[in-house]
Amino acid sequence: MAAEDINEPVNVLVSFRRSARDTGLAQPEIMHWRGRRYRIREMGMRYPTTKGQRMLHRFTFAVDGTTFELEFDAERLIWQLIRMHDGDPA
Amino acid sequence: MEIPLNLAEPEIMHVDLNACFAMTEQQANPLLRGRPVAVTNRLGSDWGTIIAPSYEAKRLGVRCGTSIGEAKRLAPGIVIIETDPPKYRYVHGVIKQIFEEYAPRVTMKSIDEGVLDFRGTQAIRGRSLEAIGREIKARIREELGQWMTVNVGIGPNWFLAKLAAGLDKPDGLNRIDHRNLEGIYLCSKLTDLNGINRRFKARLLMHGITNPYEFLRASEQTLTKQVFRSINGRHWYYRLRGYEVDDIAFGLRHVGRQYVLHHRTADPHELGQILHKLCYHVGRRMSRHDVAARGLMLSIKYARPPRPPYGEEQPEPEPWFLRQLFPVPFFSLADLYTKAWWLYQRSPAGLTVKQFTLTTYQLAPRSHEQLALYDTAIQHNERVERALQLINDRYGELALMPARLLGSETYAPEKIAFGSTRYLLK
Repeated sequence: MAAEDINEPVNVLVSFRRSARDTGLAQPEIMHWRGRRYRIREMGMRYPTTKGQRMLHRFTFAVDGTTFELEFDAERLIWQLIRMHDGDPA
Repeated sequence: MEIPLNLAEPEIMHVDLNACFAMTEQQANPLLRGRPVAVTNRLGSDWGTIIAPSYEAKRLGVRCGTSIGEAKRLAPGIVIIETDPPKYRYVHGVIKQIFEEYAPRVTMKSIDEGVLDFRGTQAIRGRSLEAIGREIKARIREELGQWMTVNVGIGPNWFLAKLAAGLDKPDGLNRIDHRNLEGIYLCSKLTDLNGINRRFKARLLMHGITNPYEFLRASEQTLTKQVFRSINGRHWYYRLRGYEVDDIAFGLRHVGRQYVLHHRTADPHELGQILHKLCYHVGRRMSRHDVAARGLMLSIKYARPPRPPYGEEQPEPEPWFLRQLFPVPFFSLADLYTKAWWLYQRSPAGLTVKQFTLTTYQLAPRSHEQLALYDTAIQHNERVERALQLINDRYGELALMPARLLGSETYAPEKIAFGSTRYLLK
């Protein structure tokens, strides 16, 4: 898959909802990156990972034929665009 | 005397995710859905193997174990992805949590499948296992994503529940009990039965057993005395009739790591670094389980030498292995590496290595270690090791590492432990 590592801080507008099972649900809604606004309509997956004891949350979503991987650092409270890929074979 | 089929109502449920790793990648990346996708542990060369093809890839002939080169030939346009352990760990954690909300006893058989034991709950659950199975499917889609589907099998024992889960892939829900058991055996193949591989199939064929129905009809004596010539025959006799013989928990017997080299090499410095990195991962796993080992085995597979100009192609060298039991249990990275290096030095020199497997065995809890008399180096090692583990727990893998591992970031990265969940334990 043609993937490109980005690793740049981005601005993200997030909604926090209460889910049916009473667990909090953070949902990125809009991402601003390099002067462009991306409206997030279709989430792929959200999953936690760690770096030592630092909790990081990964979110994947697709916009206009590109899939983006966002990472939220729960300790430093920052968002980063980690990677993007277009779904083509490598 | 022939034992009848188990007439009890089925109370065991087997749930497994369909093509787990590939499906998880398709869930994470919506652009991959509906397309042939395959997950491998090693990208970048055509000799790596596929460990999880998506259903779209399976329909084109791609299987677990197919080489990347062959997969590209069978399914032009296939997307090959390297494993991403945090995603699969998350999926494993979510399905396990869901299973535990329904059944009093859950056994995770691997990262993507679990057995839910409902025995003794009939009076309080008030609904059928089929209804619970449908709800579990819906919960998994709700919590992980709409692309995530599972197979659910219901049976009177682990074996039949798993067989039921495999009847109608993907996204099936089936039940096997004494009413439909013989019919299902009649239209199944011997290798559809979990535990019957090609070797066992050949053995059954030798005794005139050509399908699962004939397997069921074979007497206990035939299976025990002639076919399997061991207690296995008796186990099969009961298992096929729906009686439980597989509900056994095995303790941790070995901890190891296998690594297929990305870049095949005969350079002793590079091989030493790779071996050291494997020791690091094995040591971390031992530390999570708080065990020390007395035995260590190193096995090496070698690459075929390059064909000489105008010469004939050389055969691939024989794999090599050596194992050794040591008098004092060991657990520290320094000890592991010293011992692994000692084994490595006894391997044939100058050959190009393509795969290392390092395995520790004869494990015992660290608290049971017997210290050698007068050997204060052991206590010293223990303190250094605990400090190393604590720092890496806090700041991340390899935050603190032996100087020899500097520059080894690309060697032996952490991979998902395929087929087993024991390394997921913290």
